[in-house]
Amino acid sequence: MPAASMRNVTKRYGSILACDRVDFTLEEGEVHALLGENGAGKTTLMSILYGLVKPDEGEIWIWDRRAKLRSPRDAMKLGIGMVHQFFTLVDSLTVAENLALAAGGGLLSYRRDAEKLLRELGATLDPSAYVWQLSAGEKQQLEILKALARGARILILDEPTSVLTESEARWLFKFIQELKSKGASIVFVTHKLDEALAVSDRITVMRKGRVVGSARSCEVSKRELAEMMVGREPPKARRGRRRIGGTVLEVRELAVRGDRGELAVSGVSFEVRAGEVFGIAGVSGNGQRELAEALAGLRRPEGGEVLLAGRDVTRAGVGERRRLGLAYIPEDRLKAVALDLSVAENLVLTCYSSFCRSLTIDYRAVGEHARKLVGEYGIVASSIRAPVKSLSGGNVQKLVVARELASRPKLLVAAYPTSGLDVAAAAQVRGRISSAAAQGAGVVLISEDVDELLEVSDRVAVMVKGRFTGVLDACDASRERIGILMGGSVEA
Amino acid sequence: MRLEKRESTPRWLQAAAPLGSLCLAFAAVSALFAASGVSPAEAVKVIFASSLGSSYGLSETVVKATPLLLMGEGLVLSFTAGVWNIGCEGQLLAGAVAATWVALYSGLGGVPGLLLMFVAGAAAGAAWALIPAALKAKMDANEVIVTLMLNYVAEKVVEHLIYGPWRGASEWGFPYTDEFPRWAQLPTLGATRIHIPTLALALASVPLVYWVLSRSKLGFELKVYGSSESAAEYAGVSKARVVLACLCVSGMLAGLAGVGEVAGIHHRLRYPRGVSCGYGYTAIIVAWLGRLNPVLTVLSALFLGSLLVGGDAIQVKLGLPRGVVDVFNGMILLSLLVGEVVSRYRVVR
Amino acid sequence: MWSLIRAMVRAGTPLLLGTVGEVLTERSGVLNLGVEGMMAAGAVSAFAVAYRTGSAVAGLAAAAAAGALLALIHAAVSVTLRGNQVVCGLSIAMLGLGLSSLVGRRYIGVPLSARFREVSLWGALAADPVAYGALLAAALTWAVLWKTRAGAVLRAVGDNPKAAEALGIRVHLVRYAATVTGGALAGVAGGYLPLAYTPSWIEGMTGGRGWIVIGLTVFSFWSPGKAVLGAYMFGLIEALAYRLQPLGVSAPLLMALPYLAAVLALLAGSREEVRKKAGVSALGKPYPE
Repeated sequence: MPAASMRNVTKRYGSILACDRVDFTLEEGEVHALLGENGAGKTTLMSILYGLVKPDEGEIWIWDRRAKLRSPRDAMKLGIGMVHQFFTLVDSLTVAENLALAAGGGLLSYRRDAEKLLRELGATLDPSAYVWQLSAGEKQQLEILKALARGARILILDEPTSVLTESEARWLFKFIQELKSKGASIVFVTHKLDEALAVSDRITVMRKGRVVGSARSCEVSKRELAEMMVGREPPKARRGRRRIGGTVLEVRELAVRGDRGELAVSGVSFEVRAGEVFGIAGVSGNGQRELAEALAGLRRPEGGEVLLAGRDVTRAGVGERRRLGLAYIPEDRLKAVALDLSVAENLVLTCYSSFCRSLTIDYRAVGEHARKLVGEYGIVASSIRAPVKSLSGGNVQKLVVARELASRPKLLVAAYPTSGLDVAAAAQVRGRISSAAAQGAGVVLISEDVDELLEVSDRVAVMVKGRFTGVLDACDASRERIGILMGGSVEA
Repeated sequence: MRLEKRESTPRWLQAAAPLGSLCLAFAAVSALFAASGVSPAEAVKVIFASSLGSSYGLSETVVKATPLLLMGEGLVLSFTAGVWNIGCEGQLLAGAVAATWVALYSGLGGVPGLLLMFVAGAAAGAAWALIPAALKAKMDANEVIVTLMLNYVAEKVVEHLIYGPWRGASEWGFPYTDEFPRWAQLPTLGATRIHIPTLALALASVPLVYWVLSRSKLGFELKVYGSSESAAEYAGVSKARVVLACLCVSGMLAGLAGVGEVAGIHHRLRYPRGVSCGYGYTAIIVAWLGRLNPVLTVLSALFLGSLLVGGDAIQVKLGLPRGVVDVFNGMILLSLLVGEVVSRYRVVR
Repeated sequence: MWSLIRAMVRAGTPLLLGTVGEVLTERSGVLNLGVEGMMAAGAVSAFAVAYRTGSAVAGLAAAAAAGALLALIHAAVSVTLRGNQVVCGLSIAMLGLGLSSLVGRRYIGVPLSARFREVSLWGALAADPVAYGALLAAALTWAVLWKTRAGAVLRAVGDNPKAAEALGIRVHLVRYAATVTGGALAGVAGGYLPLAYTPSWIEGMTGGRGWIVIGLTVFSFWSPGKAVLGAYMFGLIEALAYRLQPLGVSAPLLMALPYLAAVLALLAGSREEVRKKAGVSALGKPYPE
């Protein structure tokens, strides 16, 4: 009897088909890898299984009974547990306390109950350790244990190795086998080919919302899987010749720490020249955000150097870098705007000093500037005095792009600039970035969309776990090569 | 049923919410009075008659509104940036102490002495606010608690001075300093108690704060920081500059208010509650009721000034204790808060 | 010497009661600046009820109820309506002070006979039952916080309400419970003043103790155990203040020490890491945003 069966599941977000008539079956007691690139629909599909998202069409059967999942609570009642990429643990509490919160337990005896549970599940965690003391791998172990403590027999692991080191990942695979031997059925969502082959019994590949193929791991080869994941090579977009000038950005052996103290970026070196677009590919969470922040001046690097237009800016703040010609489009667009301020004010947020006459701001000039940009970029707002919080996400992004490009930067750092935008808006942004390069800016473009990178970039680097696994010239790069580099193998 | 944030607050609601809050406060206070054996109608009559019903009453309203306006304008700046200066009370006392020193112990006199009183008072207020500012800028210390605690430290310093080294030689053991010399007593308007220099400063602060917020570079930075700390960091706005500017300016204005109270009204340094009957806290209400708008703050300062005058009157005429003013203040602030929630959120099924 | 210790305990007991309550409240994520008002309301209620009924215990119960009622208002505006917790607390403080002044006006100058008298535990070491109760409350709070599941739930709500809600915990309910309990304790702290400290009603009886409690809560890093130490330390300062005056030590300056100590403690405790270790990351922030 299959543990879970999803039939004809479809989910639409506006005009985008996240899941297109998907059939997915999880047999009892198996480890089933759900493989695909980012945006393939894997997380959406599993969110539907966990009750986080309601499908537009399709049926879900759990243990051969039709299930109506209105929320994660329903899913948990049926024995489905999901471990996400972010942690839902309380840092200041101990392991035992977090387990007790998840699983119940007596008023006074909860610690003993938790210790018993840990022993039964064969976990190696110290019940009295505080969560803030745990490593990422241990935290994840705790998240899995929480799900199991609530009686989960179907376990969904969403990209679990994205936060783990090599050895932690190996330990995780062993733990998964143990859980399997104890009767759990597991879905392992990943974009890494090698992992899918190593850990699972069966693999299902998704691409652009559809199931492309399904096979037993022992019967399929890496090449076949890669082809299924990536599909046929799309026609190369024609890119106009650009004049490449002098070096605007030099990065040497950059090392940056992340929020949890781990080394998010290590040993990264590259150069960007005027007129060149340097793309950085890779699944988000591999240090791209920290790298972007270090380039922008919002995060102090641990080691290495950053030279902007020949000047050492490694320790310089964002204001100084902007004065040297930096523009930055951050990953989290909400950090790039002041929601309560007007459209016009936000359009000068990063360059208000240039609208100043001694101590005052020339608001008339600000207004003119705003009207010009709103017209040029087609930003939809009730007026330039409207607060930015009344704008839609896509228009906020257009505002940010408009503002950053209006300053005619020497170096543009753009992190995921088209995320969340519809097809037309995304194309417009890509066009603007290209023309900024054509006008002499050096661009660092960080994106998860390989097609986008291939269309716009002159060179593409692939970033995995804080390092560049390879840097390719656009004419040599193919989706397959990039896909393999993203899987972790390093290219000499 | 739950609360959901609105994308934007409609104009009519922006105006109606504070007015509705005032009505709510009025109703609540009336109920409390009635339950306490005081006729609300009687109380209202006394309040209005005393504060607005006579020319003396009006002048007294201005007397009370002067420090409220000075500090209220400073708080408008500070709260716009999201910097919570709860320490105006202590900063006012700091200014009062500085003015007292100049008046009694500096050896100066005449116009230079008068000028120095104000300069010293402003500097003292700014310095008292510098402590929480530096702590917040350098160590991210919560300015609410620091400014609050420093209020009480200031109170104790004043108590120490008036019972100890500065105790008036001629005052039979009462907790006052000596009376200020004539040059240090501020000129008043006719027969009223309105002390002109401080009133002038208060009125001058209105266009100044208006200009800072709507035209200046610093005002822009304050608004950005108040909207989002992370956007401010992204934009290169210096957190230290914003925090220091807000606290020191509002501290300076509070210090000036302190000079006014001690040199214009009492002509001596007295027990802290006698110098400032909670002006520093009432100023918070003044800024809030004025919706952080420099011009509306003038109206709210006058309104709360009249309430304070009325509060004094009903203490005398109806035998009510001093705390009745706190009931007004507390109820108004609470109702304003509820009104603010109503304008920020809507109820959704 | 013993009389000094007894004075220290008497002065420290209201601080301890108030701090234990505020620790509970803040650990659930709610900042309650209205303690002074709740104490004042407790003081006047205790006096009024004890005067009318002749029972000190009834007075204390009334004090708890008064504090709890004001705390309920604070919870309703801060938690459910997600109003600004700083402003709400301040207005409750003003309201409590004003109401107590209003209600207390007819009791000025009236002597109170019902009170808690000291009970000797061991020789000259004597304290009234409420003082023992305060220590018990601190011990009980420590036990609940660190040894029971309910305590883990409370701490989770104050540290990471999002995770707590994901686990099915009713965040608002927990915050209400913690705030109201904290308010009741603040009320009892206020009630102690006329019933064991000074047997009368004076305006401004609370004398800023509520504000010291707020500082003491930070000073003790939200730990009931450290709160005991801090409360008695500050109580000792109060007891010494007037004893040392003949020696030329300025009483008001000595009384400023607790507030300064709180500021210093805030410096030490302000950094993210310390707050993370103490587990009150969500303090003062409304939930959900």
